Amino acid sequence: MSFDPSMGGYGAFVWPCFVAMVVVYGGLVLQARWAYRRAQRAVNTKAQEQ
Amino acid sequence: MFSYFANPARFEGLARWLTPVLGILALGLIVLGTYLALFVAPPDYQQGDTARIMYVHVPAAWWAMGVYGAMTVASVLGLVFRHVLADLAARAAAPIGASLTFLALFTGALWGKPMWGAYWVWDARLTSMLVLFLFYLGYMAIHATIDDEPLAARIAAIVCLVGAINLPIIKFSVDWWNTLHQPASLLRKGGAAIHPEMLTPLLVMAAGVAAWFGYVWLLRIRTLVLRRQAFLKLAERAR
Repeated sequence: MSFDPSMGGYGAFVWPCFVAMVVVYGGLVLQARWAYRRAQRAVNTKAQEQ
Repeated sequence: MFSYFANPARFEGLARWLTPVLGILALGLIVLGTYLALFVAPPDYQQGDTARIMYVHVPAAWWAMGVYGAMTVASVLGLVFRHVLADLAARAAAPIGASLTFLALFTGALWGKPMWGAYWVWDARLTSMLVLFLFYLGYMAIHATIDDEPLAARIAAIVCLVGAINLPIIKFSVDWWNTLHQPASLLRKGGAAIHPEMLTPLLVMAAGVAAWFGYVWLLRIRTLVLRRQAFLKLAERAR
């Protein structure tokens, strides 16, 4: 099956949706992982200080 | 079951192995769903390739409501049973739900332009989704502005319960009012009005978004638990 990236001229509306999906889903994963690591470091530092 | 996992140590025991499992599942399902949506699913007989927006828009809209439902359950548990983790679970879910609602509104606007000729119309479905987005923002604003955490959690839980009234309004808005937005094509009387070739990628994407939500939610709850532990250790030292 041949794939037409312009999607019959409607690609201008379709592609941004998939890009937005990657940005939103990927962005939240990265933010959550970063916040978790930061919190983990904070707990470990407090434990060492004690 | 809720009481059992209200213990942070027991919750951490479950979340530690469940988080990566959900992460791998989410990545696999979303990649597969995107491939099926762009390369395998046929174009719509009326809308052509623009209908492919559905594979991003619909799962995001479903889970925007699903996350609010989960927040409502957590808020009830927090208010009634004072579960330690319930408030944290509701708080952790809010930014995820807000992001999903934003994605549903954004992709809906990009779908609306070529199909309706407008990015936005004050249609009952669109407006009720915007109200849902505002409830998410309001909920997050309460936690961001009130320093007393138990008080913020109580007020936010009440706001969340008030906002839950909007969920059936969103679902039935297309039936109760004459809307430009199409009526339900999956959960409707007489069965799904969507061809299996289009339904399969849609369900794969929806399952992927569910796993993604589970992954980010667990990670965010664990982060809030760790922050609370760090705070308690600091308070212990200060005594």
